Amino acid sequence: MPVIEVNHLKKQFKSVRKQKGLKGAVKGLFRSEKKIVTAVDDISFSIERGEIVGYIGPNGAGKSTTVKMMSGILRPTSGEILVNGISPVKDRKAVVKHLGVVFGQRTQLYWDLRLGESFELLKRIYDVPDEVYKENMSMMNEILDLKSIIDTPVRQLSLGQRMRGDLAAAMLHSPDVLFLDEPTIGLDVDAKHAIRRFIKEINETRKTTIILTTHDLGDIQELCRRIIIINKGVVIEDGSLDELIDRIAPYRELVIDFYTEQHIEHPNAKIVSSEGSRTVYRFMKDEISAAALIEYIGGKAKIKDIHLEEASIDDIIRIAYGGSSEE
Amino acid sequence: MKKFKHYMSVAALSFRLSMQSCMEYPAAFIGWLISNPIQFLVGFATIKFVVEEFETLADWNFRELAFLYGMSVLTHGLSVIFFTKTWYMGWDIIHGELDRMRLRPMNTLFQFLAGDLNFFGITDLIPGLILFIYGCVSVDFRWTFSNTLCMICALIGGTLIRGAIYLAFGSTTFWTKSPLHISGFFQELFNRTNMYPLSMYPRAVQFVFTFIMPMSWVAFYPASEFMGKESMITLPYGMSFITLGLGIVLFAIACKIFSAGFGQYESAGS
Amino acid sequence: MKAYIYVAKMRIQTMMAYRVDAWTFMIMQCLLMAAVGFFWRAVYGGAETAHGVSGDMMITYTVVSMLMSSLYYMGVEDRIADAVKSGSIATDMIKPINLFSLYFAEDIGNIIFNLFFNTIPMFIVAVIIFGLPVPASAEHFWLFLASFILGYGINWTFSATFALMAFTAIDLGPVFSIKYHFVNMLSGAMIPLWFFPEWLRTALYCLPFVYMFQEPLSIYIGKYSPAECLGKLGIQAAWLVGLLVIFMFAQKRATRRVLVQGG
Repeated sequence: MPVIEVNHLKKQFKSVRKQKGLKGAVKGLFRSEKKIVTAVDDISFSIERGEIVGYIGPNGAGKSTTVKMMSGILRPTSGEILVNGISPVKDRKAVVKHLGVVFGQRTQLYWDLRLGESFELLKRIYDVPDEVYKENMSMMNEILDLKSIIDTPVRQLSLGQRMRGDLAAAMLHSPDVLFLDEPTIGLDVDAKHAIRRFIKEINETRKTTIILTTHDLGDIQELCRRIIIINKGVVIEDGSLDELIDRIAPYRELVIDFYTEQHIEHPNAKIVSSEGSRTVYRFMKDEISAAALIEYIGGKAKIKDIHLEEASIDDIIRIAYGGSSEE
Repeated sequence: MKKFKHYMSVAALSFRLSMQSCMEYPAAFIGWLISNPIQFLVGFATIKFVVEEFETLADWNFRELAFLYGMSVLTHGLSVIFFTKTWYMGWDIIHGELDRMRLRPMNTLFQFLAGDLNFFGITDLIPGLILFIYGCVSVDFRWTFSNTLCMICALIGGTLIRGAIYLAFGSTTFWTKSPLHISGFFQELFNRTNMYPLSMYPRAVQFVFTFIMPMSWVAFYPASEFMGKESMITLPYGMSFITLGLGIVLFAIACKIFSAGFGQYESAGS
Repeated sequence: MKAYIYVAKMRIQTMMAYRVDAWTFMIMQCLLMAAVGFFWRAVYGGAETAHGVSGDMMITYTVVSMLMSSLYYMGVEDRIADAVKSGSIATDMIKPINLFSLYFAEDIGNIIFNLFFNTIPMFIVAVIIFGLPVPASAEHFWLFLASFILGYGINWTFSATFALMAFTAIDLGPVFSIKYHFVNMLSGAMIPLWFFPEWLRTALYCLPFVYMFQEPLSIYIGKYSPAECLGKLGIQAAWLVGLLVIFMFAQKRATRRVLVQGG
């Protein structure tokens, strides 16, 4: 049975349109215009236990809205969500009991309290038994190194420290599903690294199912076996990262520096650019291997240096968002 | 029962933590500790000059006014401790600050109110207590069993009426999506209808604040019964119980409005 | 000048954007006015006059006082405090216009907004409940107008000077609150000073507050003869000049502080 099932999810917001100018402001005193915005149009997917899924898309694609609906903060306009077989619309409390949620943009900790006090309060709220709490705390301590910050008021924590605190807070009640909404946003390299290590570790040791929204492609590359790409409220890609690369950008580029300017052609490789003594070939992986191509060219002219470039994940996602490949 | 214990343990810890977090800002706390009592006491002292000049205000002398105002400010102080959160809830709703409460496996209204008690309210409670004690002493209020019971009912009822109004109107932001900065308005209204005897207003106004808006029940009606004053409604006994009953009913309605509003809560945009 | 007119206009627009606020604030002011008016009516009861002022004059006093306070908009206080707190004061001071003139222009925008959305509606409500608040004479009305403008100047300069305290480290919320209540109580806005004990009255006449409300209002209801009124205007002008000097000094200090320490 999948841990999370989402069927034909849709969410619309009403927003008030402000009129322009002094005249509009006077009008606004008496009535205002309403406009309906569709944030999530039609999204379906299902996620199995123990998966780490990257949920990505450009700004305004509906990522956070989906996460908020799955965690019971927002009510869908239509469609169905089941987390552990329970609908957050029908029984919010039962769902959130086994759910951890972290928003990178907004802390769930209590601003004026020391980090440790926040944990203490959460322990009471989730009614976590003492042994479980102790065990979780020592594990979090180990991975996230909380000791140094546990007595600091949350408002004095740096962004990276705060995020560590948020992650620990989300794990206190040993949830089996974790939603992470841009957990690495604005963090430096070290902090990012710590957070990725944490995600990997709890996924391995506890089989926690993790849904991760992010703009950081490093996060995806390092963590996600599967990605779901959405744009304008609909799913445009859903599959493993490798499969996606093979499909969207099944080519590689071979960059060769010759000693002199050369014009060597091969039926299975296209010359993308040729500047001075440097020539760039693009070829399909399944048509010819890099070695065969190098051997062929090397037979025709003397090669000074070579290197091979894969299509970057950056390009792939850009292509996927745009809905068309450059080919 | 287990559920009740669970909720109580969270409430107790929340209260302790709110106390601690107020102490994180000692300068502000001391500032309000000075300014809030001044606000109420200076305001009331100036009334004294006028009322003593004319001897009575709608048949109430200054000592009786002090008793009335004392009850009113005491319920105000209590409502500041328990319901300050509702004054700014429009902002919280617009900025998605309530998200957190939906992520926790507890009742949202409980989290909303108990999760953030305002210990700073002590600074409003102090002038309330001073005025209340001053009023009780100057009219020689008798603490018989019946009087004490009535007084407790009236104070709880008055606090709940205040809270109910703030909560109900604060909840409108769930629908309107724009914060209603209306708490000051209601505080003023509660203040003006319980600082002076309601009987000094024209009958239409008395009618409004008795039957249409519940303002006068906060302190005026119970106090006039204690003082044996004639007013629009005169009962032989039991004004305080009406105040309590009204407080409970209004608060229950306000809770329903809050829950209905939270049901269609839309967080903060994207 | 154009820039300042634009700022004032923008300010009116923002105020209007908060439409519910605008309505509730107006209703709140009307209620407060009615409450104080009824208070005086009740307290006078059968009495003819007190301190040479009749019940009707007292209600006129109250109504005009409320109308005045709806026009005494002192946004400058919060603006300075916010700018210091957020640190934007440093960048604001680099802008090629005088910061305080900017705040003043904003306040004028607020006043124009308030005139239409507070003062005039309140005036209508007052006329309906209490009748027209007539001045003692046409002459007194013009003298009042002059005194009102001077009173505004005193109030604004005092608030702006006071707000420069924001450069100290204290939390200003309660300080502003104390100031607000003191001005309210000690300026005669709510209760005219002639009800106060002698010693307190004497003390208060040494402070600028009475020249914000009490004196303009006394002129309006005809407590002073026109000749006496001119004397009062003179004292007001003197206070205004004195406060302006202090304000200039405080502003210089604040500017230097921002330039040296960056706020």
